[in-house]
Amino acid sequence: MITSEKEYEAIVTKIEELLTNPENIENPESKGFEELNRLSDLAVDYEEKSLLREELIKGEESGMSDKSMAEILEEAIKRAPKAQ
Amino acid sequence: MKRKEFDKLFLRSNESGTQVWVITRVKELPDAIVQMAFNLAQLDFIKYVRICDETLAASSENYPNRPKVPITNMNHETAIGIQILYGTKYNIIDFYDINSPIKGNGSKMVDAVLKDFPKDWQPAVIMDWSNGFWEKMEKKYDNLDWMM
Repeated sequence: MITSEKEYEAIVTKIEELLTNPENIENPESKGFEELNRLSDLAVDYEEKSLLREELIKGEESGMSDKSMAEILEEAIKRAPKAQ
Repeated sequence: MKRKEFDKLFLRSNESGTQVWVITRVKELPDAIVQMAFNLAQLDFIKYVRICDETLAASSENYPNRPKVPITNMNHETAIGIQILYGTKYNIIDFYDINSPIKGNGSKMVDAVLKDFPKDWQPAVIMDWSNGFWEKMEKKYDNLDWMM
């Protein structure tokens, strides 16, 4: 699991490196294919957990970072004024 | 639904040219989310679908330098996409991002999400920047208990 922005950026850079070799995209038997998939999942997971959450609570009170997405959704619905 | 079952279901979409990814860590998904993903994958313009344990994204385009990241951001010039956040504790989906440079495809994506919508789930739009789109959807699906 990615735990910091720095680690996330390093993994995205590694993904970009792996993408330069078509073998890593097209050949499921290649080592790079497996690594590309694993790193992509890690990056997506981090984006879901951290980036989306930050976006969602932007403008809301702080102190929600320990809550699940479902709880944040519930809180945000209660608090967010309807945008005009 | 267990991984084995939804993998089998999504194989049909993958064989017909729409890539459906469920991140490796996810071993089980709510039936409602699987159905929404399947319906979205049936749309002719949707080519990429990704499911994580709290998000579902579908788009006509994927980021070229990032596998498994469908483009859904608002005001993208060409990508037609939608991103939903979901929570199983309260059975809520939030329409987080939607973009359609082609008129009418936004409604088609919402229809795909809501057409088999379970009675014990609620749709929500937390941040509405659409200038009336979501009010129209709320009226169209007035049988659902919207949170807006």
